[in-house]
Amino acid sequence: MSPAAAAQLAPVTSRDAPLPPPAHAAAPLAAVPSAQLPIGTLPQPWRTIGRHAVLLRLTPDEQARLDALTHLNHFLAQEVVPAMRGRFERDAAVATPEDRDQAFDLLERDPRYGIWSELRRNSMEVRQQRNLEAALRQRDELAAACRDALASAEAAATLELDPTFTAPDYLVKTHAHLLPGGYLTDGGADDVAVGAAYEASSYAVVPGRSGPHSDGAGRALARWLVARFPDFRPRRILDLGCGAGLNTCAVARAFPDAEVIAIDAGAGLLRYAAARAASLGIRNVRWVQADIEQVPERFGGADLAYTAIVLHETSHRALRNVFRSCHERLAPGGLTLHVEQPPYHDRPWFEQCMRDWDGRYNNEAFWSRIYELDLGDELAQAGFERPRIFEDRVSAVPWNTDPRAPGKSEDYGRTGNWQVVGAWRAPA
Amino acid sequence: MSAATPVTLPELAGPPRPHFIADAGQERLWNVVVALSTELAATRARLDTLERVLAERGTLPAGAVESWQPSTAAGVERTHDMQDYTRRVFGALTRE
Repeated sequence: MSPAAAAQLAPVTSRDAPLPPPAHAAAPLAAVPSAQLPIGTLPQPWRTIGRHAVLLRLTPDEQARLDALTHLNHFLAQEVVPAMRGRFERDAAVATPEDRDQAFDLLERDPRYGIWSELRRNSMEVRQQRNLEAALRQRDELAAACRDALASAEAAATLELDPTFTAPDYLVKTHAHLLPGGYLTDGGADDVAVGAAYEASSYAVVPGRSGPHSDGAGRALARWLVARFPDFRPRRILDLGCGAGLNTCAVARAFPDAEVIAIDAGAGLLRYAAARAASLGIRNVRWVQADIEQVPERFGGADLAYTAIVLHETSHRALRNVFRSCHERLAPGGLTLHVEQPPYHDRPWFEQCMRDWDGRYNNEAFWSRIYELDLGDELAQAGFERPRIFEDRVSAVPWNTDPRAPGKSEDYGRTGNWQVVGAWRAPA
Repeated sequence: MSAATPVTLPELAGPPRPHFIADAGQERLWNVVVALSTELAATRARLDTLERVLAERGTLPAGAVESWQPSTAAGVERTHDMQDYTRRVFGALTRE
């Protein structure tokens, strides 16, 4: 085992060593390395989440309730889904479905499907509500931690909010994955409650499989980029739809000499992202409130412009604008990349239903539509030249590679197996 | 285990809530089951903590449960226990 791997598996506590502060301690948390448990792909308990100054603090009871929900979801994905698939495949051999609606009709004949759906929906609602409640209760403490993290002029300068900014309709009309208030909850001043709730739920929903800092997609994208284009050295990177900056920080770490411009609509999310990054020692990111459909001209001349698992929460019109904006803001020879779940084409009906469930029932505004689209065509329409457009697969190597990992069934749509669609802008 | 301050959440925007179970009462019953399962899980975690703390120290100083952190081995055991527990409570869902 490498020293790095050994460090990852080091005990969370030892009676011989000083304890790290518990996740519910009142004092601000130091950014200390977290140690996830060697439990394969079983749900990581909440307390193994990566620490930083603005992390949500949960009491032991709150943590236990959240952990119970993650186990319920793991069970629904790993044990109920395979059971339903068995029956579906038997039924589908007789009544062959011709489209996804017919496949859903067939699935609904299984009485387990309704209960599975109800529990999947309800566990998401409960998780989001409880984390947001905890974050709103801690609003003042979290705001103080944010102020402290951004106290230096250097750290404060990384955050660029625009009080005149108007959020796009798709964020106002649909609150993605059932987070009440969506990404736009903002108490003003130093409020970061929405970011704290968002990161907490992100860690719990996968659960923990995206690494202690929930940045599996960012790490996988950076690793893929370095492996696929080893000579590519981006100096200016645009991260469009950075959210709480979870994946942004991984990309910023992978390209420490680059300036990363991370753009999002939510002021509370951006404040959280800036404070979190400062606390984690990441200094090469500017967190900017702006419209990803019209990236400001001052961020032109970029070498890389990407979205990481963002577009399915927007709209077809927004996607086209984002692609056009990427083309406009890239320097000649620059690269655009867009990471999403793989498209539905030709996948078995059962898998399509499982994947489309999130589009239908988890407030993912554009999910069902985007996975039908040919994103290469969309890039071509945005001005990229056909021969310079490509697609590939990007996978997050499980942070925890325990050989006992059950992995009997993929949690479709929530597993770190993505498609990347990209294009080079023509050189000058 | 102090009582939490009530908090008002923002409204959830989006399509109307789907109903997967025709009978509204049954739907609520399942929501209660989920909530109960998380409450019982919290109780179980507390008991487990108490038992382990008592076994380790023989006494229970104030705040011991709140500040106790399981070792890696205990964390692994708890994770497997939690998996078994989830199977026991929701096992009916895997049966035809």
